[in-house]
Amino acid sequence: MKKAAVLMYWLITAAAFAAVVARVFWDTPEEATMGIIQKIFYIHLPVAINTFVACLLVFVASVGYLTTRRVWWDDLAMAAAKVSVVLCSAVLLTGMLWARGAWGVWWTWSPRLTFSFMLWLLYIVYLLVRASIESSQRRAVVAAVYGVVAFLDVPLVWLSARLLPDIHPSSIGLTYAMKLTLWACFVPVTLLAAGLIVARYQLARQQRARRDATSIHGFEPVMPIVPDGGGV
Amino acid sequence: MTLEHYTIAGYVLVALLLWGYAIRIWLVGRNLRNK
Repeated sequence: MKKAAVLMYWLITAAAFAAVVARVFWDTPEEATMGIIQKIFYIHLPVAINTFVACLLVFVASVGYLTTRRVWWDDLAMAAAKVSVVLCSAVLLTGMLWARGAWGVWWTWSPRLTFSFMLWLLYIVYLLVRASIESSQRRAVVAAVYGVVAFLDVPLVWLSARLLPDIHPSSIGLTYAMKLTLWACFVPVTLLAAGLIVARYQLARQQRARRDATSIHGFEPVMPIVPDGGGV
Repeated sequence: MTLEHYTIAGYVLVALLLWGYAIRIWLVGRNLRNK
């Protein structure tokens, strides 16, 4: 029953993804000045917003772990951090393609682009920090403190294009049909991001259960049988 | 490359990254369960 529900969730997400891509290319008018390249915006913005939500989840889970010391908060923070790196990679790649088409360059060190690149690096370093600490308790504490501090970059990304002179647009004028497409694109991207976080969290719980079962009387093996994250 | 190519490439990259990661999580979970 649960397996069927999960399969249905992913099928609905895939169908919604295909439907919005079809709408973007065949049923949404082109923007007057930028032309077809502006259509990257419909996937770029939802992925960016979901990146911020994933980073917020790392922050909340890190605070949760520091206040309660329950390990499932640590697993949740790790799952959200991994998904935020994947999402942020997608934001940077779509942004670079848009920049190449609209500005003629792949990259420029404008405030928003710089803070976005920093965000990507911060969460990659978060995962590297986790991988470099063997003791699971120490790893969870260090990662939680890092997860709280790393979140400070998210408001900087959000505010940079509004408060500082930036080539990156802070808003784009859209017609009703364009707005409809944009809101429609939020559906599969949010479903996909939420599904990835839940799936990665469940995998982390399974891996922890396996590690706990193989450790003797609470002592951790010198080399973990199932490493943290399992390389995913 | 035309602007149309860049636009299509954006959607393809997002799909590959997100769906690729979903498949990877599923495969690692399946291997763990089968151990």
